[in-house]
Amino acid sequence: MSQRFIFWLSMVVPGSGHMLLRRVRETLFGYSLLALEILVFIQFVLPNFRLLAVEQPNGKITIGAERFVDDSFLIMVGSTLGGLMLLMFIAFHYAFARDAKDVKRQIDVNGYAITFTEKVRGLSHEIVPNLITAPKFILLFVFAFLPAIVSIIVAFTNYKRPVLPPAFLLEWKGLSNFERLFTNERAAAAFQETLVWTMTWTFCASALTIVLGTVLAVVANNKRIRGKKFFRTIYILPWAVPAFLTILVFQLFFSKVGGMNTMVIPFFTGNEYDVSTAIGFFLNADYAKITIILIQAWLGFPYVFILVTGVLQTIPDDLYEASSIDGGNAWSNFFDITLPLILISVAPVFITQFTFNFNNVTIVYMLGEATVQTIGSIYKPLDTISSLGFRLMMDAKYNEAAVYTLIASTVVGAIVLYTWIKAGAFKNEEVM
Amino acid sequence: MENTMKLNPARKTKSLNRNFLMRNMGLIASYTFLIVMAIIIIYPILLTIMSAFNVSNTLYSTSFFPENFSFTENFKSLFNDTAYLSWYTNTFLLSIVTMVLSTVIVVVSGFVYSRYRYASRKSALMSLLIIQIVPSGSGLIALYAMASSIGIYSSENATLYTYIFMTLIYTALGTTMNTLLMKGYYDSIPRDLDESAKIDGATQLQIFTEILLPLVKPMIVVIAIFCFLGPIGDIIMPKFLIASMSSDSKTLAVGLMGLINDIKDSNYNVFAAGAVLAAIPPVLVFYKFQDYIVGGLTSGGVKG
Repeated sequence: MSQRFIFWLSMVVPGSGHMLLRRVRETLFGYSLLALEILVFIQFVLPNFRLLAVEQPNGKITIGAERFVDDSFLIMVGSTLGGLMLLMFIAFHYAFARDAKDVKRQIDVNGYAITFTEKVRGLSHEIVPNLITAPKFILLFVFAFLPAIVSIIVAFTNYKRPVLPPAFLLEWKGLSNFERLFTNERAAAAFQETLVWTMTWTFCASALTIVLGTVLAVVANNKRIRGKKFFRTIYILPWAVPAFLTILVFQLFFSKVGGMNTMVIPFFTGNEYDVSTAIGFFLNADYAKITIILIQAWLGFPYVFILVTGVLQTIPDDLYEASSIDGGNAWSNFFDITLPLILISVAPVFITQFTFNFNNVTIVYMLGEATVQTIGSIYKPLDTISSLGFRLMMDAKYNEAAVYTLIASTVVGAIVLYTWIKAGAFKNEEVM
Repeated sequence: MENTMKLNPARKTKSLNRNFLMRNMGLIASYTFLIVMAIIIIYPILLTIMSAFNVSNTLYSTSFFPENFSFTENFKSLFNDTAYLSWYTNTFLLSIVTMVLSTVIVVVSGFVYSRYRYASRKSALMSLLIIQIVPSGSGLIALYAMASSIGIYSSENATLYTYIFMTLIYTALGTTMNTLLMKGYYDSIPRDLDESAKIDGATQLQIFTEILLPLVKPMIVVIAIFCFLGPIGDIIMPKFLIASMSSDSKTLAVGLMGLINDIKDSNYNVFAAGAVLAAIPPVLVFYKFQDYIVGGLTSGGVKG
C-alpha cells in the first residue's frame, strides 16, 4: 500500500484512503462529501448537461428540448455552473488525496500522524479570513465572472431578436458567427474598415491625450509662470465634470445649431451664421472622426496633466543647477533631463490610455447616436469594435454583439496580461 | 557728433526692447498657449451654464450671453415637464449605496489581505488581479438575460429590483482594483504598530478599528470618491438594463441623453439646466477632495 496508491484511491473516492489508514472522521467526512456530490450531479448538473445539446427532428442542435418548457438561457447558465462545480469537486478530491497521502507519509516516517482535532485546530486561523472575504468573492463570481463566461458562450449561438428564450429555443451555431466576419464579402469589408478605424481612434486619441497633457504640464510648471493654481483648477475641470455630460454638451456644440457654428466660426471668419451653410460635424464621416478624437483629448488630458505635474515636482533642482554649471540651456535641460524622466513615468500611462480608449464605449456610442449611417454600409462611421459590441446589444442582436465583445475583451486582456507579466506583477512580493 | 549723440539713446531703448521681447518670447508664448487652452476648456462649460439661464423659443442662439435672462424658467420646466427629480434621486441613491457597500468591502478585505497570513491568500489576490483583466462591459449580455430570466423585469417592483441588481454589479466591479490599492496602503503602515498593540492586549478587531482605520483614512476617502463617481458617470449599464422602463426609473445619464436626442419634447436650454444641476455634486466632491484624488492616483495608478 504505497502513498501513490492511497493518493489515487482518495482522488477517485474521497475518504477511502483515510479508511485504509483507519481515520474514522475523515472517512465519514469524505463519504458524505461524495454522497453530496452525487446528489448535486444527479439533481442539477446532469439535467442541465443533458439539455445542453438536443438534436431536433429537423437536424438542428438546440439548447433545451421543448419551447416554453425549457429556458435555453437558464440551461446555459446552469451548465456553466455545473461545469464549474465539477471542477470544484475535482479540487475537493485533490485536497482529500493530498491529505491522505500526507497522513500515510507521517505514519511511514514517524509511526503516527496528527489527529483530526489537531488538524482542524491548525486550520482554524484559515477560516476567519476566508469567511470575511467570502461575500466579495460571491459578488465577483455572480456579477463579473459568471456573466463573462456565459457571454462568451452566447457568441456561439443564434441568440438574437426574435429568438428570445423561453419562447424560442437557442440553437448552436458553432463558429459561423465569427466566420461571417471573414467570409461574407460585405461583412468582411465592413469589419476591416471598423478594425482600421478602431486602431486609428485608439492610437490618435491616446497619443493626443498624452501629448497635450504632457506639454501643458511642462509649460505650466515653468518657474516663471505665475497663477499655476489658477491654471490647474481650470485644467482639471474636464475630469471633474462627469464625462457623459460633456459628451452631450459637445454633441450639441458641434451640431448644425450648436455653438461651434453659431458663435465660434462666425467669430473667426466674420460671416454671419446661416443654418444652410452650417457644418454638421457629425453628419460627415471624416469630420466626425476628427471631432471625436479632439473631444476625447479634451476629456482625457487632465489625468496625464496631473500625473506629469506630479513627476515634474519630484525632479530635484540639483539636476538643473548641475546642468547650468556644465553650460546647459533651457533646450538641453528639457531634452536631457525633463523629457527622459517624464517618459519613464508616462510609458505605462500609454498602455492604460490605449486599453481605455480601445474599450471606450461611452463616447463612441453616445456621439455615434448623432452620426448618420451612410446608405449601403452596415455600421455607422464612428463604430469601433467595442462600441459595436454595445450597439448590437442594444439592438438585441446578442450573438453578434458577443462576437465583438469577445474580440475586444481578448485584445484588451492580452495587452493587460502582457504588460503585467513584463512588469512582474505576478512575481512581485510587494504586490502579493 | 551731435548726430551720434542723438542716435545713441534711441538705439539703446530699441535694443533693450528687443532684448526684453527676445528674452521673454518663451514666456509670452507659454502664457498664450496656457490661456488659449484654458479658454478651450472653459468655453463649452460656460456656454452651457449661460444657456441654462437663457429662455428662447428659437432652436439656436448666436450670442454667448443669454438674450432673455431668467434664473428659474428652465429649471421650472425641467422639473415640471420631465421626470428630472426622480432621475436625480435614482442616480444619487444608486451611487451612494454603491459607495457605502464597496467601501466597506474594500476596507475590510484590504485589511485581511494585508494583516492575515493564510494559505489561500496568494490565490485570492491572484484571482482579483486576473478578474480585473476582463473588461467590465463584457458580461452585460449575460447580466441582462440573467435579470430577465429570474423575473426582475416582470415583477411588480421592477425598478427597485433593477436598481438593486445594478448596485450589486457596480459593487462587484468596484472592489477588484480598489481592494488591491487598499491592501497596498495598509502594507505601507508598519506591522510593528500592530505587534505592540497586541502585546498591550488589543484584539485583532481593536487593532483594526482603533489603530489602522484612522491611519488609512486618506485612502478610504479616495476609494469612496471613486465608487461614488463611477455609477454617476456610467451610461452603458443603465442604458442597457433600464432601456425599456418608464421615464421615472431612468438615471440622470439616460434621461439627459433622451432629452438631447428627442428635441421635440424639450429644448436645449432645458437640457443645459439639467446638465448644470447634475454636474454640481460631482464637481464639488472632486474639488473638495482634489488632493486626496491626486494622492491616490500617484500611489496606485488608477485610471480616471
